[in-house]
Amino acid sequence: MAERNYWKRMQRKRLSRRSLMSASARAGVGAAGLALVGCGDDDDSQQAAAQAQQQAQPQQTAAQQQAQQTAAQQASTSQEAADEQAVTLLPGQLTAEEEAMSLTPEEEWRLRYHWSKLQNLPGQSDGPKYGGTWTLAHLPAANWNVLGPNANLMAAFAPMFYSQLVVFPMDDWANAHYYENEGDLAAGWEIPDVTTLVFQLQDGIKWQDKAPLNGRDMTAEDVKIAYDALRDGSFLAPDSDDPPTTVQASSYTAVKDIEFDNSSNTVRFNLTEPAAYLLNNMMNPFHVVAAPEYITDDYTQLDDWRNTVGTGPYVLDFVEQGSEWKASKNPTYFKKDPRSGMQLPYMDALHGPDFVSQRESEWAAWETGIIDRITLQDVYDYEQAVEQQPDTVVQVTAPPPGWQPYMTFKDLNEAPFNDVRVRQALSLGMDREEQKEGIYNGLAAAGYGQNWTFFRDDSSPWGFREWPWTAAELGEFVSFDPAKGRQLLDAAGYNEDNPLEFDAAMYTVPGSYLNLFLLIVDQWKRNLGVNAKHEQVDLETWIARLVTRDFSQALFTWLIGAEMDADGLSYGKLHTDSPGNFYGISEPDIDQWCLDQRQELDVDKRSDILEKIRVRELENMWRIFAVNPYRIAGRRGYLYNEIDTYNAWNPGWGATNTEKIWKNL
Amino acid sequence: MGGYLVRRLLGVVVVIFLLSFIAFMLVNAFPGSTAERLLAEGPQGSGITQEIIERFNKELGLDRPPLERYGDWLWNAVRGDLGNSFASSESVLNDIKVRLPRSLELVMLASVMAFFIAIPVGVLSAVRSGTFPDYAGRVFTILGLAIPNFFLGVLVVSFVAEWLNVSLATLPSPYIWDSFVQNLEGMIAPALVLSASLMATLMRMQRSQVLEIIHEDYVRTARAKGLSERSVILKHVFRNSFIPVLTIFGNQFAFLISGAVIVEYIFRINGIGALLVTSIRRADFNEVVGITVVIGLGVVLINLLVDLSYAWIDPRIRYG
Amino acid sequence: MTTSDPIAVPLDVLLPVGPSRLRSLIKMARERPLGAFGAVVIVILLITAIFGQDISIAGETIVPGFAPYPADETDVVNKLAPPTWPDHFAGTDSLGRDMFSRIIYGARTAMIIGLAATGMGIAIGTLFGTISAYLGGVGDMVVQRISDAFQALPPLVLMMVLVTMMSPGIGTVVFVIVIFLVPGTQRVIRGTVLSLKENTYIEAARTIGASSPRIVMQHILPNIVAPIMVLSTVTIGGTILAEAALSFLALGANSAANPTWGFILFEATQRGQLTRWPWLALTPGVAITLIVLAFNLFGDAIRDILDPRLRGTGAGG
Repeated sequence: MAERNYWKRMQRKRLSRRSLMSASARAGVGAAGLALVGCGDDDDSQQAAAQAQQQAQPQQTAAQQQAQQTAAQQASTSQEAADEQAVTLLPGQLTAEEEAMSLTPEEEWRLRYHWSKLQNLPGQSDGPKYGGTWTLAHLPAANWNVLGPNANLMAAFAPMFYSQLVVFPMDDWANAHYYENEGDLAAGWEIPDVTTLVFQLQDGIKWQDKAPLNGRDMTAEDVKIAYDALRDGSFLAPDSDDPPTTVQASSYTAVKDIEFDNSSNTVRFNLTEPAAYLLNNMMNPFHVVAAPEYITDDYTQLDDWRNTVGTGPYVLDFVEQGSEWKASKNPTYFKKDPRSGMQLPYMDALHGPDFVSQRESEWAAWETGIIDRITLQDVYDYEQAVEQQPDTVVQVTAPPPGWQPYMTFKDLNEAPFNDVRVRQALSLGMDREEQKEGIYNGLAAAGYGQNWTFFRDDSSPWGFREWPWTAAELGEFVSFDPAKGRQLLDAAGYNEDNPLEFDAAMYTVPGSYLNLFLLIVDQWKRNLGVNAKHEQVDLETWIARLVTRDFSQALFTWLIGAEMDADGLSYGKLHTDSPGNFYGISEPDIDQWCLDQRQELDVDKRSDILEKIRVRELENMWRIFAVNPYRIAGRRGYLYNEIDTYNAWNPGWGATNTEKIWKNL
Repeated sequence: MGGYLVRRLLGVVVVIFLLSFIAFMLVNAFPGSTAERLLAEGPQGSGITQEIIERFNKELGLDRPPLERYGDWLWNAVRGDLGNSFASSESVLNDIKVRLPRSLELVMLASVMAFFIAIPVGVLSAVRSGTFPDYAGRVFTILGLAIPNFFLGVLVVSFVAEWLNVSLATLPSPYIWDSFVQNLEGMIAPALVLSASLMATLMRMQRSQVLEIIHEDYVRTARAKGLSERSVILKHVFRNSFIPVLTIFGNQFAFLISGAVIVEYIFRINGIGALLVTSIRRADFNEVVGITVVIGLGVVLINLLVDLSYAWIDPRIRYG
Repeated sequence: MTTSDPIAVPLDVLLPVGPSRLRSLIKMARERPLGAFGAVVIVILLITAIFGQDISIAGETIVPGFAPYPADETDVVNKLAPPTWPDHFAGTDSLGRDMFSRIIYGARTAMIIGLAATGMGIAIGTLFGTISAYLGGVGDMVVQRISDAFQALPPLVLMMVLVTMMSPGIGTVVFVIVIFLVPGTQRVIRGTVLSLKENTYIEAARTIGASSPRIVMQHILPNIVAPIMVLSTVTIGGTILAEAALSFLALGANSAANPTWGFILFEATQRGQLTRWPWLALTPGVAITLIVLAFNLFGDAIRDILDPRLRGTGAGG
């Protein structure tokens, strides 16, 4: 418990330090997004404040650095000194107080490489510089259609070339564990009533200078057409009897219609009901504004990368399928960095050669300095990265709820998994400590497929606690208790003479996920006498198996789906009628609560509803969650503003920040 | 010669037609997973629904019977259109054009290396039978035939590169005409790995052929005429031993391409082999069939060339 | 040199052979240390394949295996441990599984596929080859052109396509390797039968009115036993290699309880940093190399013994 208090104290310290930021930070998750107002009128003053802050920044940072140098001698006697030290630490450093604590590896790594330390990096005070090429290992997309059935794959690309109404900020000051709303095309927005949302667009936005747009001005009507196309496939194929359903459509079911006014440069969304999730879902990096020329003509032209024309910071110049892609600066980009006031983007070019299938090649590219960032899969990778490039800056990020290892069942109404005791026993028979240590070298914690922002914490500057959950908070079945597990199995009729046996499907490509699965199977054998047989699935169809239910009894997966809002993880996955409920979960209470939280605009009340959903699911173990690993990313010391967030593991998902990345060479 | 050539070329056409039919039917015999594979690409499948899968299949025309689709495909292929990739909508022919130069270079480089090393060593090994070069050559032959190219590739990428402190396979190699040196830097190691087993095969064949011929009457006669050992070997022994070696090369060519697929994968060369691996995984049928037909054409033509070259090497051979 | 076959077979050099000389095998083996080495390795592999893991019938273990650990027994506390005597003779992998045990378990799959695929491939190929040669005419031509087409497909490509479309597993892998073996085998056998057909004693049998099946059974089959044996031994190594290559691309017969060598190597490459854990890659790689080497050497010896005319002609590659 002492440690729990410690975390609270940590966050309070940051609160005082970050009071300037906290106002905008509050304009955040779910209900808050709609309930609070970030009006267009306010925007100017906000920008002025940001600029003032930016001017103050160099001196402040210099002072901090000095403080840090002296801090070593002074030892942390007073609370004040400890406070000062806490905010000037570099990634990798701990305060004396923290050093003295007996931290678990997961806590220590999380603290050492916490996102809040990135803003203290030496060189930040110099301010952004223009020029250079950002190179990263990145497999180009096969299909570039932001409106096609594969549009969600564009999450890793679209924000570089297109714009959205709302985005989440990503730079070295951004909260990697919590999403704030920030205008992109929108200079600001107003919520005159709970079913109306009015966006004021930025002035002087131009399309990229590529045919057929050829650099023309973007209008409010363009934005309306683009969002109509996102929410309703019949706008893409007006003459078709069987119009396509876009993958984005489910986020806009509450939208009745969209109006525009070119003269005032505004777009108005009229809703049929309050939608607590709408603003957050619009930040999804593949909900982008595509050119009306393509939407009204033949949107399948967007399949071709050559037809990628947006209003974004970079222009896509070259793609060789399966090999590499290249992009260059958009000279007519409309945005300025709110922090520095400088014109964006900073980099001249982006280059993404592919090393995905060949890790050794990626390492070679890292060692020779060809790539500027690398994803580190575990502690061994970390050691190698730092050895090869001593200037490596490491960031450890909480894992997203949308991607984490768990098991789902083909049919919850069929034996043996129709018996809740069997499901509970399987969870009790998992040694999550062994999983955490054995597979992830301690860098993981008990997982659960809901947004961790469900846990409110008023002492935190953003109102929610940082991951992870303690096992106790996840109910009585997320603990290791093989004896109780055996009892439950026995009660369900499975014992040594009649052992529980079932097929568990998993792909065969080696890696930590397959290792985790094999370990779990072995744990069940050891701890419960359960015989889970590995049903082999190839990697390429494995994800679709979840959707098509094409497996025999149980499926081990790590896909839930990256979500920008708690709604996607509650209603989206658990409601009986949701297309994303692949699990066969159908419970009247859950259904009702899922609907309730959609329209609940009060943050606290919404949190309470979400908690009820969580407790109910964990009692029933409709899905069995293992441990969820932290994410480690390494970037070169000269690279700034290139961050991971807890969902948008850049560059895998979300690349909003490419516009702000800069190099200090 | 003319009549022979016409007959052979007709044979090529028939084989390619059969091959395309077999390839097309094979990939289409097990339908149903293309959409799943394409949609599931990458780890972000959150938006997939059954509805979207059906939409995809319809857009790709996969709901029509295979024979009908083969008819369409063949008609277009005859006119030089191999269709579009299911995944990227890019023209298959274009995809092949972009990548073929790299694969051709890899295979040619490997073949040239194999010939230039295997033939002299093979001859030397036979002529100086029982000496150190002979034993070295034979040990290499035995090992080269046994060590799988994927293991050799892994050893080179992971260990040799580390020991020599060079990094292999980093950025995509430019085309050879864009940057000769940079291209070769990226190509030499994979070409060597690819050529190992071919080299061993050729070396072994060359050695045994020379050993056989060296005892023939006409060689003895040549020696008796007082020709120098050097010209005996070059003029009589080598020339006569070369045809079986060339035949083996023709036979091994399909295996060489198989090897190239794995070597491209390990060294991350974006040739048609790497594209084929990706396309097979995606069940991108148009791409798979297109590449298979192009590779098949290459194999058949190389064998035709090998047969034709007999006449050039040995003027006694006449085709009628 | 007027062949109209666009594709010649690597094994074409196997011309018809004389009477079987199986009896001299042992004597010849003594004179061929390399072949004898190959034979010894093959015997060791066979013993490992049979007795390495438990022999069970209907879930009951009849003979316990000699592998120190089950191939899928995890021990994450001791993961990535370097080779130590006697606990982990060849080190452990990233789940703490014993590498030596995994190699032992892999031997059975390698052997099953090597023997089953080769046996079936050669049997079916022999059937096609004999019928095709004996009947001749249009049927023969069709079979030959289809063979040409199959042989113009690089073998690995053909196998990858098929395995991907079906689902990976021992049955699938055996099936695709058989498909790839049949065209080459039938061509060799067809050539042999064609030349046998011209022999005077078969002509004689035909003139006295012997039926075709009778001629095949009495005169042809006994004469193609030797080339079949030679073909089989030189093919097994290649078959094991083909399965390993498929496994290396995660398209093989691997399963958690029965890992394959190719897949163990693939696991190593996916783990990466192999200079740090060299045993991960070297153990399976050396196992594959050694067994292919053994079959190559043994096959060469068998060929030399059964058909001395072919001594040293690199056939089979």
